[in-house]
Amino acid sequence: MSSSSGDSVFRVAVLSVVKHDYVPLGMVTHPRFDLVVVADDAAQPEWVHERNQKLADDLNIPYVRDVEAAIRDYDVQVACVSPEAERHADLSVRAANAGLHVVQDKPMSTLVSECDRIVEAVERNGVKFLMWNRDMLPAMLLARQELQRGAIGDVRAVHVDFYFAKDAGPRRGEQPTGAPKIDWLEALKAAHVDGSDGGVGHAPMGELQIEGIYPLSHVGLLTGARVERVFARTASHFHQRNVDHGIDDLASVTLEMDNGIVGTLCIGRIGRAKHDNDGEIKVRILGTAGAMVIDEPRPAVRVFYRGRTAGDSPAARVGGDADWLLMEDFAHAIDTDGDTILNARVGRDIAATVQAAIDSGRTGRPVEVS
Amino acid sequence: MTRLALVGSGPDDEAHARIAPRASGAGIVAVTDGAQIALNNVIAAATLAELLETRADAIDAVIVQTPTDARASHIEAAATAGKHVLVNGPLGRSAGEARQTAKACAAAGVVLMAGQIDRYRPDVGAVRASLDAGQMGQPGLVRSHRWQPPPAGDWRLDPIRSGGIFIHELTRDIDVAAWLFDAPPNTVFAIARGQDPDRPDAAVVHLGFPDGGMAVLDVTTALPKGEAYWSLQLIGADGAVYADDQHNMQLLYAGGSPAARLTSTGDATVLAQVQAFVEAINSGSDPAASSGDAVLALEVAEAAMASAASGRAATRTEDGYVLV
Repeated sequence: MSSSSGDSVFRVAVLSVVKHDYVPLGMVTHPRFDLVVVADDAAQPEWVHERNQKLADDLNIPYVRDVEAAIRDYDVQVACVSPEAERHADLSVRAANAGLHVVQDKPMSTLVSECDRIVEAVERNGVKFLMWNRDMLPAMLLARQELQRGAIGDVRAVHVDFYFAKDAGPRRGEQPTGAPKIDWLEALKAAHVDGSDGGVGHAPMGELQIEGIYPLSHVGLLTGARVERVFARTASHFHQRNVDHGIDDLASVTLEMDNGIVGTLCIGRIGRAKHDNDGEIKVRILGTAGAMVIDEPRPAVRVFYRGRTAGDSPAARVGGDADWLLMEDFAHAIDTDGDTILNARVGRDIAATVQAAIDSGRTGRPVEVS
Repeated sequence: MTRLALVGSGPDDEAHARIAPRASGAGIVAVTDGAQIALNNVIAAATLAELLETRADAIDAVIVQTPTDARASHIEAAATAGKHVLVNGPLGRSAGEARQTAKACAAAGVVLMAGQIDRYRPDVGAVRASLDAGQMGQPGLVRSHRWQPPPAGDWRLDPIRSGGIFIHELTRDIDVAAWLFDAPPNTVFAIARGQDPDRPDAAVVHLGFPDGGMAVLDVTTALPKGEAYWSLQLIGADGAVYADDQHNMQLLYAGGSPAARLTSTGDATVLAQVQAFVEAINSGSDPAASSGDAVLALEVAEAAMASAASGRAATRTEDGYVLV
């Protein structure tokens, strides 16, 4: 591994890309990051290799079925980690142990203990870690800018709506009586075609676990506060596959944070028909001297045309430098030995908040965040 | 025509004056207890007691909007005199008090309608209509925000007189949530914040409903002086409906950053509320917003207060809400 400084270009190994390619493609919006190889373990099943191979072919770079060999042979400094959720921690830890800085897709892991393992490896090896996030979206930059200039005073509360207007197979109750449980991984693999495969992994995950890091990262960044206790309600309200596996597709969480700050989060995979955009994603901030209501998907344009299907969102986000800004933040952290906007420790705390919310949803009682 | 007396001053006094000529089958003929209304030929009495003593025959019904700690006596006085009652705000400072007044009205055979003004907002009406039309399917989540400046009037700021943020404010939002779910919540959790812990100016109430339903209700009275912000959304199994002031803003460019101006729905809310009251009187049927609904909202608000004070959740039992 070679060291980097100043305006050097970082060579990136994509360690598995079974979900979407938005993370690696987001990384290369910054000229200092160059994807040079896709790699994964040889023992992975064929569908994993196929997806890895496709990205390699699209980018015209090699695909190597040996992670350690790829790291050794391609002189890489950065790993982009995007396998099934259960393998996130394993690949991130191996990358960190090899001295690579890591950009990782959500969720950080399906287990808080695995997040702890990432934190330990990242800190012991002195490498930088970035959880992919939405904190650099233009609307969020505006919110932070207004907070920084004191437009609404100090933050007292943050309320986030995070509804994904995507479908997830048969609706609740749509399956015939006696139908077998929907196979989670197979359903997610099939959903890859239309990009609705949010929680690719072997074990079923609810929306809190899959998407929770995005809104909770907003809350953390806007408040600078740590979540101490949560109360949550969770339900399998929309999709049969969530009912079959007893996991949430709709959840509401009340957050008690330090400094007396309050937060709430409403999150769900509500289905395509229920919004004219990708989903209602809103951040409401109450301050000591005012309040802000932020529509996260703006700026956007709305496009309508004859023959538009229910699956086509009429609204499209436009402009913005979110991906570039994330990578600029990451490069800056490497250059200056500073911190990233969403580092391993913060990511771990968010995973612990999510777990506490899931536990609260099960018990009906408030739960301390460990 | 139903002849109404406005008892006590409220935030909608001016709207009541404006709707008077438009209200079908009703008119405001008297004011008492400091109600201010710009109408001619209206009987002005110092108190409801004075009006009932001197001109009881001139009115058929009263709209009570006196301070919450005085409402029970006004409601009961009106009922005893055989006058129908519309209450703008909670029926009392506690569920127990509200039950008492409801009993008095029932014994007197008069209509008691809980104001529940938010139910009559055109946007809330559209949310409810989408539910009634079957477009939403089974409701899963109700989410509301109501941010406003501190309420005008000394009594509203005094928790002893108004009941504080949970009674004076959140009973409105609790009522809307229970109305949309058409069921009482089975779980209540709440947190409250404010510089003075005895006078919180911000609260979140998190409710659970049967079949996995949930509601998150957020209220503050700490906005700087000026206009309020409101939003309500309902996410159902088959549909979703979003009502949000943000989407009803118009932009004004006059140098510097543009200013946002909320598009008004006029007096439609107050008019609809008064018409519903008159209809209930004329038809002899229970008003849509019944005293039972108002009592439930107060029970839930009391459970929320207990939850906020203890840090525990409350669940509904046969004996009422119990902390767990």
